[in-house]
Amino acid sequence: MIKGTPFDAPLYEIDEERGVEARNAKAVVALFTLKRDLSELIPEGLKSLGVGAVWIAQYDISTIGAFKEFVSLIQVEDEVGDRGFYMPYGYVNTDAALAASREIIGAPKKLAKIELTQELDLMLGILERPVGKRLATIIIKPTTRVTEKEILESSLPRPTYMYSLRYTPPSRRGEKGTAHLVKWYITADIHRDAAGDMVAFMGPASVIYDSPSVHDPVHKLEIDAIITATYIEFDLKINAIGILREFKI
Amino acid sequence: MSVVYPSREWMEALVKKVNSDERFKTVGATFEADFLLTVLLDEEALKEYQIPEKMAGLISILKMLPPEKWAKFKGKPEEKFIEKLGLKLDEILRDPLIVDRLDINELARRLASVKLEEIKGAGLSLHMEIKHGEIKRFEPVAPGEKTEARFKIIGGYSAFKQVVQGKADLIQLIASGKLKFQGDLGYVMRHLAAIKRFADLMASIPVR
Repeated sequence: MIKGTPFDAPLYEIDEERGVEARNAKAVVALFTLKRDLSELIPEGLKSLGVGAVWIAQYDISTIGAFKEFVSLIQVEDEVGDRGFYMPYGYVNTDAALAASREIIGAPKKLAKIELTQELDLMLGILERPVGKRLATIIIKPTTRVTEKEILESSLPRPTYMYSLRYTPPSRRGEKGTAHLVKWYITADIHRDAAGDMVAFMGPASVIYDSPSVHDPVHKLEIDAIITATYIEFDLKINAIGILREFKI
Repeated sequence: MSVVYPSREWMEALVKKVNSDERFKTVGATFEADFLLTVLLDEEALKEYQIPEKMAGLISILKMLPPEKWAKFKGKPEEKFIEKLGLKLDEILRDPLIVDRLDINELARRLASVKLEEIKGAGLSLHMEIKHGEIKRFEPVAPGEKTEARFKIIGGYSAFKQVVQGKADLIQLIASGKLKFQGDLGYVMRHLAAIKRFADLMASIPVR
């Protein structure tokens, strides 16, 4: 088991082979073309493909507890030609999800208020930090049932590679900290309803950075045009692959 | 100014629009692909092609086919469609210039009595090559041609029309099965920015 500290009462415990597992998750995800080059946000070893994404999810059951998540993603290609997403910003609402994300895979999670609800005919996802300071809102009208499995598998392939920068600050003045570019992956199994149809809907969407904040600059992923917006229900596995690069920062 | 969709004029407007777009040159710089678009006749097409202007648009595309290509219509649903318009494929093959002398109003009128089941599977196939942020070639092809295209999109006239008019999203129509896509989706996902820009440019051409 991979354990967080304190070792006699770990904040998280994760099966090394299976990784983090979540059941009965739901998410809204919007893919969009980026208005400008974001090379300054991406570590060496990755190349931006000009597409961003915002993902808001709610995990009702997981091996690190029930939690909610907001992540900003940039579609990238790594040096061996694998396509995936780099995570410049991420948020969760529990301590275990925060610590496991940061310590194991380097996902730069902070605590925030995250909601994913359905109001009227719309799926609504929000990010606030601190509470009351609305950083982002996603609204999707889930009008179109996704029937073609290949389409979902192309945007969420098995596995979907992810990249993040895990940083250990220096412990002495004058020294540099160590950053690791970590490659990891998720596998999402989309639920099917009683009729065998995938629980996945696309539709017109808005992604709004309501009130930009220098403390949480998710708005840096400026949206040129939305490509797709999808609501899905799924089970998820998350596991690490390894360290691609080490930097002294 | 609006153009008739589909028509030679529309095809030329699309090439001009895409090839003069600096952003597409940038986001599509490494995107290389050829597409076979097969627009199947459906109820909406049968209704709309009864309008002489729309029929003239369709014929303007068919006129772009080199005369020898008409032989490939033989035995295909497209031959039935031509026959229903009162044309004989053998006569076109003997004298391809017949296509230039067609009475568009008469063709449109004849279509009123055609039922979809009589011409099931008939469609208009367009082949497009994109390279270095430009459309290098865009032309109609005969049935059975260019089936080796890297990407194939097949669907009804009404679904394609919604995309062209910007009333529906191409990816949503593919995801919901209203348009069928064949090809390497992984490559598409690497070039989403180019595809999105292309779709936006296409939808920005006013059509009637």
